[in-house]
Amino acid sequence: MNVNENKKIGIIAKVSGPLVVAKNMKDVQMYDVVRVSDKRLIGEVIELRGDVASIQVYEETAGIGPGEPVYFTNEPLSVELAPGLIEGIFDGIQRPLDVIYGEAGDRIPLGIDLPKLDRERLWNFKKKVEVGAEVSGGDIIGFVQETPVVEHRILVPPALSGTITAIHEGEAKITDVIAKLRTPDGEEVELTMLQRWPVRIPRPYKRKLAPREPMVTGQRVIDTLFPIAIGGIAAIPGPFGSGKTVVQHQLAKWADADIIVYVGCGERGNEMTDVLNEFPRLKDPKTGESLMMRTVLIANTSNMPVAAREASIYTGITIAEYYRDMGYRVAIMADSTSRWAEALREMSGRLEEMPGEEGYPAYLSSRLAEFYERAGLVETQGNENRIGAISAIGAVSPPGGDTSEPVSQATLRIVKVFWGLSSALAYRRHFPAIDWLRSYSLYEDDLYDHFNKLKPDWSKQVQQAKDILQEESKLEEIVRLVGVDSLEFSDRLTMECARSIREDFLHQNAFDEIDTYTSLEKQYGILKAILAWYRLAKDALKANASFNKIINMKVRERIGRMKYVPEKEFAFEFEEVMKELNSEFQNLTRGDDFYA
Amino acid sequence: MQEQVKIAAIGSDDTVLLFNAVGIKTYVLESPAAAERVIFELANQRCLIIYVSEDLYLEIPETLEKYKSAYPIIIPIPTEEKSQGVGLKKIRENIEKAIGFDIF
Repeated sequence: MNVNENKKIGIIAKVSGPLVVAKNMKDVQMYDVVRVSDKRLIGEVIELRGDVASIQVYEETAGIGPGEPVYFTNEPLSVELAPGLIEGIFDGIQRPLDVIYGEAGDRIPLGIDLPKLDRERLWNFKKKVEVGAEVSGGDIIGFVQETPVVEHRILVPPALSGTITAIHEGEAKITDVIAKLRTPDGEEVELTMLQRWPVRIPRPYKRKLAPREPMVTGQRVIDTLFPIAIGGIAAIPGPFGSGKTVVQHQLAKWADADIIVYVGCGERGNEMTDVLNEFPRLKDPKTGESLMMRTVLIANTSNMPVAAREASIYTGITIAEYYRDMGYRVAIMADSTSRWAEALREMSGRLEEMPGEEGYPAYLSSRLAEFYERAGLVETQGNENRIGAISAIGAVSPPGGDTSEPVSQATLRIVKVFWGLSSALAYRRHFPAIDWLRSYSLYEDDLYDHFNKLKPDWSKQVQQAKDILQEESKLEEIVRLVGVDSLEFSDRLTMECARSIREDFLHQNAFDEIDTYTSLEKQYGILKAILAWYRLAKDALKANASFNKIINMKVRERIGRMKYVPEKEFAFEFEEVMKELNSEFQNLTRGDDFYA
Repeated sequence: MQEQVKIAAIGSDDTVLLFNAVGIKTYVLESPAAAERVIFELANQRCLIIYVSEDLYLEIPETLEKYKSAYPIIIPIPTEEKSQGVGLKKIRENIEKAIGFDIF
């Protein structure tokens, strides 16, 4: 692998699960990759004391013992960045799982050494610059059509600049030289499509921008009540079975992003299977192509080695950063950061570090912050002022759903959007079980400007809906105490309206073909119809209309079915509903026979 | 309904006729819908007590529920036919609610 590896050899002194301690390691550096034993397991140096190094091994360490060698590579843990990432499924250290499956079957053999990306595949490289052009880090030198929807922009590696002395056009493998660059020092550098980047170092950018635009997800409770910005960060904490994974999948499917990086870390294997089965079949509403054409999957399921889980998050975000640098809007989903934190805890425990809260290492929150801070809206390197973004959405699985535990708390300190899932809602079969009373979005104010441009009364309408839901929870306490009979009709009407908002608007069926995605236009329309009913109903009640007649109106059923109306027919349906609403209320207040 | 009405009676001709004798404003109505409308208007004028004949009283549960607060007090009165015991039943319910068991 590397010329040095035979010269310098460490000796294993201790093995403790994924942790290997080796002596004679003076010449390694922190976070260097080493190959452990003659099985050549991949490991990473995570602690150095004198000539003793602690190595976290990304593979099963059964059968390894003291005295066995450790080979150096003198390279940090890196990912390979080149065309071929999209549609790929990798493990935590970017080993291609589909290729391994083809070579070795459904168990990953120890120490398997395969290229991370397909070296043989030919890509059609189209140049963008000519010989003699001055380029610097981040400039685009050419394109490759990676999938029908993703144009892979080949960039000058971040630290390089100089004059192009040769450029290729046409078919090339990722390791072929596609351009030559003379640096200001007069050195000639060969550029390939393949770049490496150490996962623990954030890729550079020009400057960070404040997120301003919403990332439309097609999920009503998210877009309307708790929107996330492009380049924003969100957390989804929730107990088991409350639908974290389904929400993550929904976002991966429908979020308004060019590239999706889905990191399944420490969750069940069959959830990744779902993604693999479903995504190729689903069509992206914008491009009409399969969703897989814009997705990179990173899988470290619960039965895969713990240490690689720690790396999977970094692998994911580095790939995301690479596409961000091309000027794409990337969304990264991590499911779940709790499992990742548990991997940290396990390693920390084996390293005999002083435990912090609940045994998590003291650096838990700084590690979490490091990860989330790599998201954001940025002006990328290069001369084109490209804007790229990474929106990060992390699931958190607090034990027992109690968000006062360290991982949730550390996450909440960093993220700006909090979608708290509630087991009570999940139990009531209200999905997505995002608790509207606990959740919040700190992007709201910025994003409302954008939404209001779309529909002038968007924020007013949303505020009203929130107030009604708020009111409902207060009234519900009274009802629980003394029964619904004790409420005045106007309060009962509020509760009815809240029920309608919950059932007809917030509830969304991820498995219904039409309901799974709702455009902003439609979201606005449904909410408007519900609130229009509420307003008219309040007036009618004041004019002595019968409460029972109001709540049993036929049009309400129709409002309830609005979410199942296809996008194309929605504008017409909305008009019809509003007409019916008005006429039904007119009949109600006029039809009262006075002094009959 | 210009002057302030403090006490009113609603029901069939024969039922409410006598109320006229003591100066109570009366409304001769047959349909529950009309009764509901009149009660609504009386309530808006801060009428305090409204007597309603039993047959109408039974037909307007929603209105009764609406005016459960202190005023107006809506009291059922027997019609010229035999009393159906509506008032007594109501009192019994209220006592049961207040003290926890049926003392009748």
